[in-house]
Amino acid sequence: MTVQLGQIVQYIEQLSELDTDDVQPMAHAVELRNVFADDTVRESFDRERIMANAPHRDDECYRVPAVLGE
Amino acid sequence: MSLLNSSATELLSRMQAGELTSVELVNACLQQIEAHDDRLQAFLRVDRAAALARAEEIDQRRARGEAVGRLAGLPVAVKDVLCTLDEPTTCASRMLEKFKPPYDATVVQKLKAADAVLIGKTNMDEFAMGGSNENSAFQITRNPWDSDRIPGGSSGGAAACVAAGMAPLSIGSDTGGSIRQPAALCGVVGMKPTYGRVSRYGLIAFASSLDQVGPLAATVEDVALLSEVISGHDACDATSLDQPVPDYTSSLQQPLEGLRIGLPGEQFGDGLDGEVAAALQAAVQVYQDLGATVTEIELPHSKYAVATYYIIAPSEASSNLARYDGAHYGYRTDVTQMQQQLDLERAELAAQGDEAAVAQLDSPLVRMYRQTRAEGFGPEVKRRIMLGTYALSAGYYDAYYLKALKVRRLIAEDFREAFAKVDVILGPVTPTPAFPIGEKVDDPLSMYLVDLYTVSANLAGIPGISVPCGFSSEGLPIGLQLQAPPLAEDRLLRAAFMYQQATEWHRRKVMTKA
Repeated sequence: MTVQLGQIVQYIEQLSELDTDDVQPMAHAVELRNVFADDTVRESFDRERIMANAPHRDDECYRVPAVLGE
Repeated sequence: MSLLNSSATELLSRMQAGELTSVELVNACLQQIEAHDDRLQAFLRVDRAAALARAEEIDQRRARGEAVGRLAGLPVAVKDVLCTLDEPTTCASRMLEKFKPPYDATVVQKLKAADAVLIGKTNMDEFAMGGSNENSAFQITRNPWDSDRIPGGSSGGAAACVAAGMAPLSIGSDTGGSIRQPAALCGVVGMKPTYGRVSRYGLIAFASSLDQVGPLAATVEDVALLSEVISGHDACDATSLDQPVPDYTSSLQQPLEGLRIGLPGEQFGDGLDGEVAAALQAAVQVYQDLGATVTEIELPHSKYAVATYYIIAPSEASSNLARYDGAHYGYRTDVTQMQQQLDLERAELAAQGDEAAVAQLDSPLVRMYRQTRAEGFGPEVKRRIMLGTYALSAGYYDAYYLKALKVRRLIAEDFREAFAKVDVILGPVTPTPAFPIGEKVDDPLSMYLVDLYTVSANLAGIPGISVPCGFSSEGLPIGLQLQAPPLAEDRLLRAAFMYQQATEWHRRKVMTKA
């Protein structure tokens, strides 16, 4: 994996040969603008459907191993 | 004519004329799957009972003369990257092996509303990362034209199932060529729409600024039909374009007068297989005979597209895939075993008197995250997460990620300038026909370079289509790519249809009978 990643990094470094000082970065293919939604109440997802995917749960809560140690 | 050799458009007319029922059609597809999918492995899941029940219901509604949707009774296969309510949606990853989404993707909702019959979920490279389907955690889909070869990817199952007559219509996703490349290698038509043309809501994210859902089918008119159904604005996707969807199927028949085709010189040079080049030259001749003018154009930054893509896509992926931590859904490591191992490590370090190492040991939660991800992701996904986090890390952000965003603009500008002179750009989809399974698995960089001709469209957000344009001496399909400016799908489809009408490649079928 290390050798492969090394080869890939070496390959992508070819971008450094381009002069891009005056180029604006392009993060998105379409220029984005803010999209506002009406503040209306609508039905939410079914909680049980979502919780049914939990690897470990306790009623309506997700259970995870201790966060702060013992 | 056999059912499985007919286009979706023909099948639809026959159902409308009362000559064919959806149940008959779905049964024919299911028989084809049963006969060949043990070998081809295109589907991850097929729900026979649900598909037949749905077909029956649509047949009854049609028989009663009720209004039915645009795709009424047509079987559609869906790539397993799109969420389907209460049905497993795995992304071909152990991480999501047991995940059942609490909602349908917008595209899936649209298919259901159009009365399509969802026949099954197709195999793919894990999280859509790969070009061969060898990165699926579950199975390797085989190319129907030669089962020792890859079908392409990441929508490999989506393309293979159409080529093998298992489904007349298929949905894929394309982040760097994942619809067009397998379409080319399997001898079917596949289109990546303009970024934002099709909703990404419910499409499991790989690289959000590049991902786009699109159609695959045996013919251009089928791709036009499916595009019409799945395209359109969606309030649930903030990047969705609020533009009307043209009537692709009716404009299709009108040839483009005075079509101006651009050939990027860069794409016809070194690295392009001789038989692929010859097939493309012949296609150019077909267009000239149809009255098109052909000029050479330049896309001077296209040689940097793969490097740019393999910075931006992994960067976005590393961020998107951070959500798979074993806490809320998806795979979680065996926590009891993990805790025992952690206790053991702590005891050993304590016995050695190494208190610094004890203090640095993972907390149980952090160890759960790490171990879950180590076990749940395959090697290619890990490779891309590591590349992405590296490119985004504090010391390298400017040199890699920011640099790539700037080159992305140069690539997009190249297209803008080219489209001032030509209507469509014609070029290869892939450097070679389908390669043998296993050939590139140990050399990820050579696998990435297969994406050379397709990634630019994703970086620039423009639409691209792959159309069958010939066969190699070994009998493997070759595809031709057409690209057009943003939202010019109608032009793309019309140009592709002109070629299809003048040629017979799309009629050559790998399997003629169920």
